[in-house]
Amino acid sequence: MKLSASEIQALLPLFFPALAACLLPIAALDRDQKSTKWIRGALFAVALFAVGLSFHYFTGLWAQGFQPSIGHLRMDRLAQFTGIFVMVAAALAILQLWDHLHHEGWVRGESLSLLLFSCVGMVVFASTSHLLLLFLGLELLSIPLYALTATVRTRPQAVEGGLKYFLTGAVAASCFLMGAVLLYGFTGSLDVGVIGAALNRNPEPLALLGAALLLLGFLFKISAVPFHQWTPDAYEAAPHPIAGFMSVATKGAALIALLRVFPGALSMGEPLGAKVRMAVAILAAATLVLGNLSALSQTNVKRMLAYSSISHAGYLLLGLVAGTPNAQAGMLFYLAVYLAMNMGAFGLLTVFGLVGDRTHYDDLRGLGWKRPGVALAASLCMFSLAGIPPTAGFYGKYMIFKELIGTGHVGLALLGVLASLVSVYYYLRVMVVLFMEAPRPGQAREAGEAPAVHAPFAGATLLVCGFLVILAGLIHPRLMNDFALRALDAFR
Amino acid sequence: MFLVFALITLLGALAMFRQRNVVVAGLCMVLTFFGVAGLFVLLANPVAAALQIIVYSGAIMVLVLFVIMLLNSHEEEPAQSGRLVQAWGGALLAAVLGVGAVKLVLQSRTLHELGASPVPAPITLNKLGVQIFSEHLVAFEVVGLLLLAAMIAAVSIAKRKL
Repeated sequence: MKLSASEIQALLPLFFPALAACLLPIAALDRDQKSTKWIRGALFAVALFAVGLSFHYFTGLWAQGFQPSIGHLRMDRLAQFTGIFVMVAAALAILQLWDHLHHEGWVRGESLSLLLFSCVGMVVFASTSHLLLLFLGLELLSIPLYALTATVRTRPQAVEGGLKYFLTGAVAASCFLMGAVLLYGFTGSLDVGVIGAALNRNPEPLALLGAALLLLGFLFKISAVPFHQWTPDAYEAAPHPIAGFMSVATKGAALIALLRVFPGALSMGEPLGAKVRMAVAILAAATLVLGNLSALSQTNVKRMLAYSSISHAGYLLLGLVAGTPNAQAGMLFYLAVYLAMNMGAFGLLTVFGLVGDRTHYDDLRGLGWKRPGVALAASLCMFSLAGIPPTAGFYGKYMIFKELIGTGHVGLALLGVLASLVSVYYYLRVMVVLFMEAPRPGQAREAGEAPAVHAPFAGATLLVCGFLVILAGLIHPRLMNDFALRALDAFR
Repeated sequence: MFLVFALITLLGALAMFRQRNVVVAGLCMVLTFFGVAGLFVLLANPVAAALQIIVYSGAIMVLVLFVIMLLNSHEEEPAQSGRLVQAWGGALLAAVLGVGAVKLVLQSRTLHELGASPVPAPITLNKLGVQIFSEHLVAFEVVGLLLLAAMIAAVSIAKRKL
């Protein structure tokens, strides 16, 4: 069998991260003390290079408007959007990992390899409507993440969090598989488009159960409410950049896959479709309320960010409830913005070298004045997370709420606005702690004794994130029309 | 015939989690796997049945028993507290879900129609190979990546000194 040129073009963007992921562990085996430093540097450089190449191919495909496919893997606009999104998140995470793993004293090449595997899995997950590939993509993105959560094994919480994530994730994956089996059993096809058509002709209660189980698998990855319990523990256990990557890229890939599978392909007829929308609306509302209220009472910044990521899953799901093309484009826009602002928020913890459990509000006291530029960039990210006007976060929420009101879900939109008002409190609290509170007594002395925190790459990523948040706010109509709306071309 | 294999599978599974001795529980699992292999034969899929016996009853079971014997803990530890509420709640939920599932299966029109349809042609190894390397080529490659990723993940977590 020979691959045609277009098939090779469909594979190329995934080929390089996969190849690098396979090769990196070999280089990581070297334990010669003298050369370790150089090899570490080379490992990170190779990982970045692979991600960059993949980004290059994705943007190349996007610029040409070429949508190749191989087998059931379709590199259409939406898949290319996912690819670009995931690769940017991965690049930011790799840069931050370099600093964070040095702070923790636990630099391992395998982490990079696992990160790249996970990226490949995310793109596969979001670029197919074939149930078999969907499941494989889901596993390929989650299994490395389970291990990454428990990367810094010297902390007991790391193993605990990793195990919790693994067990709950395994249950969710088996639910997904059961759903896929039921759908296949009743329609005789693994392709979601065919399944949707067959179900429209002959709605079958057991197949609806299958669709619900499938939905559960997605919602678990998005960490929507009844399936969110793993989130704070897993994020707290994971290294900060991995937590950021998990919150951004996993959520993004799962949402885009959901967008492709549910409203896109499995467009169910009126009685069933209405039920699914109803269920998603209820879950979105619950996610918003619970995520925001739990975030209020956290004393640990990382757990606060975990609950905030749950509440953001709620905003994004609201876009799915509205269901219009503009709302879906709003979701994609919000995802892109969320990438910048959440990687920035987790980067804040990395930049100030907060390791282990020292991620409470108290540990951040007065640090803002030490590195004002970086702290300012982080504050911009927090403003954006809270949805305060000049930043991009506001426009993302605005687009989703506008479409919600347009489709008659005024109550949900109101709930969303209220929720983001509540969220202002806990995001602003970070800034208050950073800039307006004096360091806790004894902290200055500790800081004097500890070696100076050195985080050039993480600092740079933070500045980039802060800049992006403002820039995306300024040019949001262009981003929306040229990027988000065009990504949805494949559907229409 | 179906009932025999189904009963073997179910009883094996039931015995497995009622059994306190881990080695015996492992052997009950083999019984379950054989039952499933029988079901595959009934579904005109001898390839899956052979794979089930070779891979699951053979390789994986040997591995599981090997690990159990290495760990040298044949008896399951008793639960620390008898969580009665959870146990009964779980049983109730399982019963409700089970009744719901049975009801759905009995009501299903598609399943009734399936009973009248002719038996499909048996799947051969040849057909399977052609399918894997033509239609499911990408999936096959992704499986390869997945296995490697899982291996690296397991080693990176488990190895004491890297």
